[in-house]
Amino acid sequence: MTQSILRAQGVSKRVSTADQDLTILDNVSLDIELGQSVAIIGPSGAGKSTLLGLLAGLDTPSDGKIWMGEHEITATNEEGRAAIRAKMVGFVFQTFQLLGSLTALENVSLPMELSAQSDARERAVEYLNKVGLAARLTHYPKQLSGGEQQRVALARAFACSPKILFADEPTGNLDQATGLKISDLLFDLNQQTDTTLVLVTHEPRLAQRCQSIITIDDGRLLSRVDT
Amino acid sequence: MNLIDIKLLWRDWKGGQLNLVVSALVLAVMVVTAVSLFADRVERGLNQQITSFLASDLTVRGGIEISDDYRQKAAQLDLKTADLALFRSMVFAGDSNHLASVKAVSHAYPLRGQIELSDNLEVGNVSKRSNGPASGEAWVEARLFNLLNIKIGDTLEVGYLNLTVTNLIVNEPDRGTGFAAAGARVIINIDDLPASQLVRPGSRIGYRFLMSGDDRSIEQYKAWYQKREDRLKNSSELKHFRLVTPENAEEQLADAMQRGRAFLLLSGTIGVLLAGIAMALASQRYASRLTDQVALMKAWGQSTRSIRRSQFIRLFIIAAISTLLGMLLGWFAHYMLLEVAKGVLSVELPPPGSRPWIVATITGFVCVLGFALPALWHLPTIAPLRVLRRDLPDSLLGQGRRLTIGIASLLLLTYWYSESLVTSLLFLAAIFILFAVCALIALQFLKLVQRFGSWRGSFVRLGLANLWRRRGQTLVQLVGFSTTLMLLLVVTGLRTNLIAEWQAQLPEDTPSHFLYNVADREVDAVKQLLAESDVTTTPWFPMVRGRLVAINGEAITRERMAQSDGLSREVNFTQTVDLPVSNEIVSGQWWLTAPERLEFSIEEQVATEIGVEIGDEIEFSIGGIKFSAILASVRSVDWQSMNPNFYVVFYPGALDRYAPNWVTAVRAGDTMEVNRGALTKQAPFVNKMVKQYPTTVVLELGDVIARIRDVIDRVTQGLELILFLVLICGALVLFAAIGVSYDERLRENAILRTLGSSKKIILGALTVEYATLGAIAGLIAGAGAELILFFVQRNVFDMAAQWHPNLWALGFFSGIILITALGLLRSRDIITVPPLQSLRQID
Repeated sequence: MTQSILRAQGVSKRVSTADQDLTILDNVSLDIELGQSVAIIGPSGAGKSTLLGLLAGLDTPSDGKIWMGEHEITATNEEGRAAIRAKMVGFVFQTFQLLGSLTALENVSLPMELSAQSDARERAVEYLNKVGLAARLTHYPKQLSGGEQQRVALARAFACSPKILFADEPTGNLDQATGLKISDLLFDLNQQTDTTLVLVTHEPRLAQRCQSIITIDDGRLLSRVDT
Repeated sequence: MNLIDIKLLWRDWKGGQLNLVVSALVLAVMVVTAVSLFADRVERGLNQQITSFLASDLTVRGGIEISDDYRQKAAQLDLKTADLALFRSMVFAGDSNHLASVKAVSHAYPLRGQIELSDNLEVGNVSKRSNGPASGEAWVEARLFNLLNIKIGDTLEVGYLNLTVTNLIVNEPDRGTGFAAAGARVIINIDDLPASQLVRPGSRIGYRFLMSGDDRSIEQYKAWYQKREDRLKNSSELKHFRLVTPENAEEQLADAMQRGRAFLLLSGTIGVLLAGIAMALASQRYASRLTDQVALMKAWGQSTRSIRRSQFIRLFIIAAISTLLGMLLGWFAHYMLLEVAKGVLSVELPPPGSRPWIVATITGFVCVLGFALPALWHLPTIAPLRVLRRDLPDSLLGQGRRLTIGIASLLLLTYWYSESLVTSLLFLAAIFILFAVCALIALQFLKLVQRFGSWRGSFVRLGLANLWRRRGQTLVQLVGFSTTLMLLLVVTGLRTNLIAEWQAQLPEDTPSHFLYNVADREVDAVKQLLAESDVTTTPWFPMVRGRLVAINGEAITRERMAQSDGLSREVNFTQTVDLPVSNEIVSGQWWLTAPERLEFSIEEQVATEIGVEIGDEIEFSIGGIKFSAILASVRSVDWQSMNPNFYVVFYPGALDRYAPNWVTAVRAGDTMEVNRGALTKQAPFVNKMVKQYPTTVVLELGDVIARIRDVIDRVTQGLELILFLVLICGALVLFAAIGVSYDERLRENAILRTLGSSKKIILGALTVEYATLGAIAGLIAGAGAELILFFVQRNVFDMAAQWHPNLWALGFFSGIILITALGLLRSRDIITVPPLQSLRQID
């Protein structure tokens, strides 16, 4: 029997604006297994990123429950969720989110140093090697191209050995060719490390490479297709 | 402490994100350190000098011999003691004589400070002694050698005593500055006094009983004296003695020091306030740079608590390093202040105490807590979701709260500096009113400029529109800059005014010497001598000492006497038909013809103190002989005019029978070099005068005048130095305010350039923007300075208010030049970095 790593049950998210209450997510339930790669697709404003944020424990739902591994992250406070994120989660963002004042090496080692990992530097070098940036360890983000920056971000995400990697439009800011290289790298690393991958994308080709595609629209889960 | 915190902080520093926060903090600490170190050392130096002025820690003074109970108490408290007797007496050497100021001292004198002596007239090698002359010896001041034509080893006759002159007095600690010390000094041993037979009933002798000891015993003695005083007040016993402490001896000086220190620190506070504004603005920018970092860390699982802790550690490091650096620079800056003040302060300055360092440290940390922390406070509470949604609002601490915290910190600091809640509240209120008024005026100017800009072409319109669009920041810049510039202009204006006023008051023919104690029979001969010496004099006044004894037939009581200085002691009377120069009639009438009954005129302040009105009959006593006169007029007297001035002036004739001495002021020409002890320059007539008329006293004013000019000059220079540092704080506010809108400007200008605007247009728009800002700040500063100077001139210095067009011009042009230069310097990247790089830099 396969093991569930991420489970959502009846998750809704509503926000109040000045004139009305808006439902962004409506009663979404899903189950993601350990090591699985899942793409969340849908039109702009469908609620993809909101769902990603809720699944990653960055936000709390208005209704419903979410489990990450053994932990029910909806039953704990922000500090509790932070502790769970620290143990289990990695991120890759559309805008790379590298710290401009740190070199590539420092950007990769930072999260490991924050969690007091003693071999942070060695692992950072190892993963930068894996993404093909061995020669650019001491470069600052503004000295790197967009593709190189996203490679640093991938190295940073995988070096921490997260159980689940959340990727928000990882190729959204890159041209097609670079985007393709980055997605190859993402899936290669995913396989090598046996990480669960949850990614939000507009790119059908990227979504096709995942084992499962969840489509949402207007806050509702429309379909889940295993590829 | 986590190494990663230091690493991140180091990266932020290297990335230039902390430059402004740190420089503002360093500058604030530097200003405060320099000012408080300077004030502390000067204060300590002066306090030390005051005790040596007294030659003791405590002195009991009296006109009769000090009674035994004062001595017994001192012995009981184990205090060191010494005795002094001061009087004026003729001293003789061969055929020469001089009315000397004799000081008879016991061997232990001086208890504090030292007497500087020389046993050699020519070489002048000075030795310092902590004890008085032995019996049979006399130490004499240099000019007496000249006056009496004597040398070391000669005999000097003091009364019936023959003493051997063994030393030349170069300096004595308790020399004093009053008229009483005007005669040449002779110091003898007090044990020789009886043999001199100079002490007789009725002799005018000042007795002093000197004491020194540890602080506790001194305090106990003071307390005992106070109790005794209180007891005396209720008895009919006459008060013969007065206790002189360093505090009351130089009360005015101590008071001036206290006010000076508070004033310096408060002007430093303006620097702290501006640095605070700069820090708050720079921290705001720093916070926006940290937002993504913190959101990312939280997404990675860092708790709010650990981020808060990391924030405190970083701020602590910033505060500690900046404070240390500020203190170091402040240490150097205080030497600059000392250098400026060097000519004024003839005291040796002891090392500073711990207070200035504590003040500086607390300033540094309070600034960080009050100005930087509030802008960064929200960071740990940033939602981790921000990594996905950058549009999420930051829960920034409200402007109101931040302002409250800033003001509270400032109040805390000013209260600590001034040690007075009222002063600090008033000061802050004044500053904020000044800021508010400046902001209101600046806003009107901006509106005007905006209207003007709407029909101007291209970059002028762009530049002026920018000012209006960012009016919040523009106002902060304007207020910061115009107030500092204003204060600098005020100080500059004051210096010019004060010196001009002095020069106006002291024209070329300002008296250079006072001549007094000229006997009635000698007046004509002295006038002759002065005429031959080619010196001119002001009018001659006869002078008699006397006192007021009754008002309208009612004897003056002890209580009433205590109310006025003019009643409690003998004062100088004169008589003249013409109203003396620098005197003005306030009420009544100056005599035009000979009055039927004897009339007199009185000085306005004394009239108020003793409560007399025109027409009152006052009884006077001169040497025990009493007579009455009617008050005819009340005069205001300009005591600073360097002319002989009097409290009481009679119609001529009233004093004829009291054998008056005469007084006049002399305008001497060039001085000649003399080499006699402390005296280096002397007008040629002085020597002839004192040789031929030894009882005449000559007081030199030239030194006093030069010194006052020097003091004004140096005090304003010192202030300018501090205000210059404050102006740098103002420049930091400008830098920080530009920094707040920096990314926005970078983006806008990148877009403008992408759309085809030339570098020239962008540079032109920025120049217009900063030059207009400078012009407005300069105009406000000029107007404000004019207004402040108007009140200061009229109310503080009693001067006629005058316009200062040069200050307006100075404010206007320096505003334009300074702000344009600094603004363009800070914006150079906006102009020079290629548009694509600019846009990437922001992302």
